[in-house]
Amino acid sequence: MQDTELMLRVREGDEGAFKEIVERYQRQILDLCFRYVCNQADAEEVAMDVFIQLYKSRQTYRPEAKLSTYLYRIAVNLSLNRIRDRKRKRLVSFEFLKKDRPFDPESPDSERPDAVYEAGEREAIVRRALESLPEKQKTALLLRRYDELSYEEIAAVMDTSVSAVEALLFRARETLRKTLKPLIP
Amino acid sequence: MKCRDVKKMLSAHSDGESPAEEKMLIESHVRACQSCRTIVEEDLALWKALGTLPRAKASPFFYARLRTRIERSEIQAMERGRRISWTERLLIPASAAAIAVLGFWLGTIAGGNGDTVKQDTATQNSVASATYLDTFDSVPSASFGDVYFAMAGQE
Repeated sequence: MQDTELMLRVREGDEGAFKEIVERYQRQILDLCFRYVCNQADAEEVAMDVFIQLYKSRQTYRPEAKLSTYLYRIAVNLSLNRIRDRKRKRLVSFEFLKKDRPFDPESPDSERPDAVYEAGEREAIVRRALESLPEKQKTALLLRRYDELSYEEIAAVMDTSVSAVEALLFRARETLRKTLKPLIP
Repeated sequence: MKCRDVKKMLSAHSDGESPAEEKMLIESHVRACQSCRTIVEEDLALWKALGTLPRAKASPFFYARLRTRIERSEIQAMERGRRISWTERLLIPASAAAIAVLGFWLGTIAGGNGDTVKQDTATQNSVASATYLDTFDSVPSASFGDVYFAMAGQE
């Protein structure tokens, strides 16, 4: 069933249709939020806020708007708000320094602690580089690199023009080529 | 096509977003230009490096937890609505009372002849004295002392 049809059913009070939308987009939205907030618990909370906002606005949903674009837009805005709040409260998250993977004795990496350390280091460098980008450049880059959205879709999410997205990605790449120089052979 | 112009187009080209008519020109330029080729190679390596970021862990019972939060927020919204209606219910009599008090106060000012203002201090003092000082009793009735002396008297 198409997203639009599902959303129209949600508007009519169909609980199952809402569940289907959540299951369809939960993974993408959670990943997107995680890339912004760099913390599993915060990402889950923001992702839930995204679907709550969708549910609350079901009566005003316009079928001509693409649902995925709408969800991405809410996710980006709420994630950026969360980061701003965190900065305001001066709560610096060092979550990215922790390893996301639990120790697994079966893993080939376990025999090589230096490899695990190296992977963690690389990850931290990438995160820091992404965090240092201006908000718009970061949003364009995340949507392009990880969600593989087209320039047109990114423009719709960010409510801007395709040429602006092109310029944002050009600048983001230029900056990252410098900051991630140690990782680029 | 100038090298500087091609460099600006390389980002969109790497993303497969350059227009068809530019595509061939960019590709032939890159083949011939070492500097632009380096950028293309670096972009590829950059894209690969960005892929090292892990995904979020799967969130167990996501929908069930989401439903709970939605229900909670709906209850809160209803309670907020109820609070508003209570406020509205209180607001009407409170405004009526305020208007009545204001009217009474304005009436006192407009209706008075100013004698109260001119009243001499001696009269005011005598009123105060009659109200408070002369009626002062060291053992006021129904006080602890009064009860105590009453009990002592009975004995």
